[in-house]
Amino acid sequence: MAMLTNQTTWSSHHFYAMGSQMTAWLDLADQSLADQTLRQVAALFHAAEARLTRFTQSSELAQVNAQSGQWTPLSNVLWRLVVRALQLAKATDGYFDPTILNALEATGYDRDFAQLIPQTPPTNGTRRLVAPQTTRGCWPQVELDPAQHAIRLPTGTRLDLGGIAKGDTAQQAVAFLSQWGPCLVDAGGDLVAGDAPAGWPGWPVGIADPVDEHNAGAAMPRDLAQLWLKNSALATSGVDYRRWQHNGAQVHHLIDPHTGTTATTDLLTVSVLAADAAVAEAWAKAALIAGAAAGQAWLTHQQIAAALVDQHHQLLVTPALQPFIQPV
Amino acid sequence: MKMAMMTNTTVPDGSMQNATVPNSTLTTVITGNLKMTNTSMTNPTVTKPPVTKPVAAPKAGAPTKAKPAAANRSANLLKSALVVGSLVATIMGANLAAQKDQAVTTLAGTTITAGVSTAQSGNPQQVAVVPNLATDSTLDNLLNTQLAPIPTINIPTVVTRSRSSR
Repeated sequence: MAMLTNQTTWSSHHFYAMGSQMTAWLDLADQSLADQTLRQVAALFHAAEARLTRFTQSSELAQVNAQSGQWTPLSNVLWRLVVRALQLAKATDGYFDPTILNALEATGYDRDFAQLIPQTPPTNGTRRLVAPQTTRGCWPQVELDPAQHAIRLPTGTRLDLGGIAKGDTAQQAVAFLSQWGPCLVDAGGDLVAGDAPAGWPGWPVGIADPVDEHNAGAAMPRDLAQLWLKNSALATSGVDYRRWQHNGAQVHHLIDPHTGTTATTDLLTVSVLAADAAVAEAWAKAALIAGAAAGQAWLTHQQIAAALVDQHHQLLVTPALQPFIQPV
Repeated sequence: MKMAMMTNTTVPDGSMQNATVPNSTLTTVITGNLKMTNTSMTNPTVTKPPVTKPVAAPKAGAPTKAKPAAANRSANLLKSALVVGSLVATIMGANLAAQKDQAVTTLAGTTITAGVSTAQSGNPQQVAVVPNLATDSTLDNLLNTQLAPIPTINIPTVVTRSRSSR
C-alpha cells in the first residue's frame, strides 16, 4: 500500500523571470545544497530571457526580428526553439503560430506586462503603436536553412516565442535539477515535474479555477481538479488574466493567427498534460483559440490529455485526462 | 524554504496504479509549406562541371590497318557495351547524387520534407533536412509518453496550481 510520508524535505525558491512569478522545488536532504542549486535555476531562466525576450532590443530574438527579409544565423538554442515552434504551428493547423508578434503589439502589448497595466488604457493616441506590415500568422512563409542554422523571415514579420520559450526553459530547469533529486518548476502557471518526491506518488498540483469578475476578489484560489504530476508537464493557456483596455475595448494577449486580432473564444482556460511543456503550451493555446466545441473535439480526437474551462467555469475533460485527475 | 509538513493524510487501501496516456493517433507529418532550404547564405549555387574522361590521342605515325569483319563486329559490340555501361553509370551517378541531396528527417515522429528548386532543370527534387532535435523528442512521444500515476491516494494539499500566465 502506498503511503505518504509526513516529513517533507522540499526546498523552494521564488523568483521573477520572463514576465512571470516562478517557483522551483527540489527534494534534497541537504538544504544548503538545494538552495544553492535552486538559485542556479533562476540564473538559467534569466539567461534564457536575455536571449529570447522580445522586449529588449539587444536580445537575439529582437535582432533576428529586426532583420526580417534576410538570412540570419541563429544560436543553437534559438534554432531549436524556432524549429519546434514551426513544427507545432503545422501540427496545430496554424492555431499556434509564432509569427503573430505584429498583431500582438498592435493590441498594445509591446512591453513587459508588468509595465503595461499602469499605462493603459491609452485611448488618446499619444502612445506609439506598431503599424504592422503583417498581422496574420504566416508561419508557412518562414524559411529555414538547416545547414547554416539560419532563418529568413518574410519582410516585416517578427517572431514571438512567448509561452513555448518559457516552457522549454522550464523543461531545461527540470533536467538540471533532476541531477540532484526530485523537482518541480512552476513557470508562471506552466508546471514541469521531475521525479516524484520521496514517499509520494507525484507532486500534488491543481488546475486553477480561472479568475474573472465573479471570483477576482476571492481570498483563496480554487482548484477545479487536482492530480499527481511526475515526469511530465501541465501547461495552461488562458484569457482570464492578461487583459487590458485598448482603444476603449478590452483585449487579451492571445491572438487568433487566422484573423490577426484578439481571439474570440468561449473558453477561459485550457490546460494540457504532456511530456513536454512547450508542446503542452502550444496545444493549450491552439485549443483555447479554437473554442470549446472545436477545441474539445480536436483534443479528444488527438487523444491529448486536457482540461477546458468555459465561461461558466464548467470543466470539460478529455478522455485522455480522466485517469489522472481527482475532482475537488 | 521548507514546505509545510503534511499530516493527517488518509490513505485509502489499495495500491497505486500506473497509467499511461493511450497511444495517440496524432500524426504530425509536416510537409509542404514549411520551406527548408539548404541553400548557403553566402555562397551562390555551384553547378558541378560535367565529368569528362580524357581521351587518348592516337599516336603519331602509328600504322593504320584495315580491320577484318569479325574484328569490326567485336569492336562494335564492345563499343555498344561501353555506351550502355556509360549510360548505366550516368544514371546510377545521378541517383547517388540525388540521394545525397535528398533527406527526410524523422523528428520524433514528425517528418519534415520540403522541396528546394534546383538551378539545373531536370534535376531530381532536392529535399532539405531538419536536424534531429533529440532522439526521443518527437512530438508524438512528447504527447504520449508515460505520465503521472493514477493515484488512489487523495491529494492532501497542492504544492502549486497550473493557471494562465502570471
